[in-house]
Amino acid sequence: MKKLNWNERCIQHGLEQLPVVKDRRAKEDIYERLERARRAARWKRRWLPAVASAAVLVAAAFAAPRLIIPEPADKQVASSSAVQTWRANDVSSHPEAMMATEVSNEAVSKAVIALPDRKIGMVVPVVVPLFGRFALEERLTAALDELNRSSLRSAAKWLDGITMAPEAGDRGTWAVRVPADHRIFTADREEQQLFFMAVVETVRQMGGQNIRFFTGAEEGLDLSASGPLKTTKVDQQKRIYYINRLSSFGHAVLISVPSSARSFSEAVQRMKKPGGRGLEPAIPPEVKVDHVHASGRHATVSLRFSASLDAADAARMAEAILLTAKEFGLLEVTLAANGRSSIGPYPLGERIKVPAGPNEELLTAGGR
Amino acid sequence: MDPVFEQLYEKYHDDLFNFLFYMVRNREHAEDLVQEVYVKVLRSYKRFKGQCSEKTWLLSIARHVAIDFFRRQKHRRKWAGPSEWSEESIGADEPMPEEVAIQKEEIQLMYRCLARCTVDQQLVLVLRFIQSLSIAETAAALGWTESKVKTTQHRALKALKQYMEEEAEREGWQHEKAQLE
Repeated sequence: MKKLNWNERCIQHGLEQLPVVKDRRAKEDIYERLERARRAARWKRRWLPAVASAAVLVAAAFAAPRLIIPEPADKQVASSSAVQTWRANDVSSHPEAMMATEVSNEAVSKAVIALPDRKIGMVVPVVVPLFGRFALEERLTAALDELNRSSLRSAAKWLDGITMAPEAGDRGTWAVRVPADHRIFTADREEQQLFFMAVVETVRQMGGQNIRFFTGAEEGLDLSASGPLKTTKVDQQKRIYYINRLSSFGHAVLISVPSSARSFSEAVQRMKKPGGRGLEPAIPPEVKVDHVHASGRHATVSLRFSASLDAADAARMAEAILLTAKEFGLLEVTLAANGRSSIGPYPLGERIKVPAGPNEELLTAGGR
Repeated sequence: MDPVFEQLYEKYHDDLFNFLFYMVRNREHAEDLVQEVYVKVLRSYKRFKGQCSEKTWLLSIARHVAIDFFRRQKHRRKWAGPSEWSEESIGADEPMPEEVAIQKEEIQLMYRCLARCTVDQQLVLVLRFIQSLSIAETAAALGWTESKVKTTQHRALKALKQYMEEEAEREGWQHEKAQLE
């Protein structure tokens, strides 16, 4: 018969009887992972000051805007040289997710802004191409200007007047400045939550790890939904991309969701399952994942189609795979599929650079 | 392989993993956190002066890592309103590990109820009774006074007893004074 009363001695004895739960990994596997983490930490220590110094120089150059003539986007490849050099030196030393500021030669020409979408109660990240060269500090403001000229202007209004920029001397920390009379202070709880999530996701997409909030000249942000907040850490958990077809932006959108997947391969398998709350899997049932192999900063994903797929859905699936790859620190992906030469705009059998961010088509689809 | 890692692994890995597992109750999280502990330990090993035992020192670092993890989780939950969530918060509670699932029902009940204790209470119960640390060692690992350990332990056992009784009653267990053995 099972009992219901225990004395303290029984409890102590019971605790002592709880079984030992052991790590199932081999010592070598643990050490290998540890080494990767240590290399990443060393890389950050070694390169971040150099990157910060370079950014200061760039910022100084842009402080004299009349001296700099904006270049066309297709000529903006110089800034990728540091990334390329680093890749050549040590392809495995930076397993962190690549963010919009780091990806390939798009670094100087794109920014990602997460927009609140109240209809679906989520934030939708949108990559915004910028025409001209912008320092990191200016990029989000320029991207908001672009959004205000697009069909997304009403969602972008929530971020009007807000500046987000990395702090001098600590590029991982971003200062988010909200005007004291911003409309968010009179918004309802859900709008405030979406606003907050949009800010955090924007900073995350741009590579920030911490946020310092300012309201007007004062440090801190006091929303009724969150209470007073001076700083927050950006959750660095890797994301998986899902599809939402109910967005108020009038198109199916890709949404990122934190995932506990521990490898890109595991993440791709999870992309076949729904994400809950109206999120459809980015890889539909008609497509089987045959094989995923990641090595260094490159992955190969082999897919098998059992039925034809709408071209837009196929393109969205490929984009979701590429963006999820980016979350796992990959730079290039080769897609393969039976009886096809391309998936949407992406050629098969070739190395495809991961994009800077999702949902770029929202800018053009809505008629700018 | 780094000889320091090898030595620490051989001597303490099981204890370290077991401690982190009982704190976070998820194998994958425990694997990630144990990694984090090693990174911190190897970075500061040369500065370890031996004021306490190596195991106590390791566990004190593991405790900080676990608390950071809880803070991150708490922050994520704070904003997991209608608009943001993670897969973990969508899914059911963490499944019971098979090591516990094969134990008798009282042990399973205790494992479940342990999660209802506060983080401080869990720390003390895990270190004292699962890791078998003395009051002094527990105090050193937690950076507390011995009297704080004793007080917290007393409250933790009382809370755990209450949670177990509530849960058992809800599940329709019988009133009976009995031993766990």
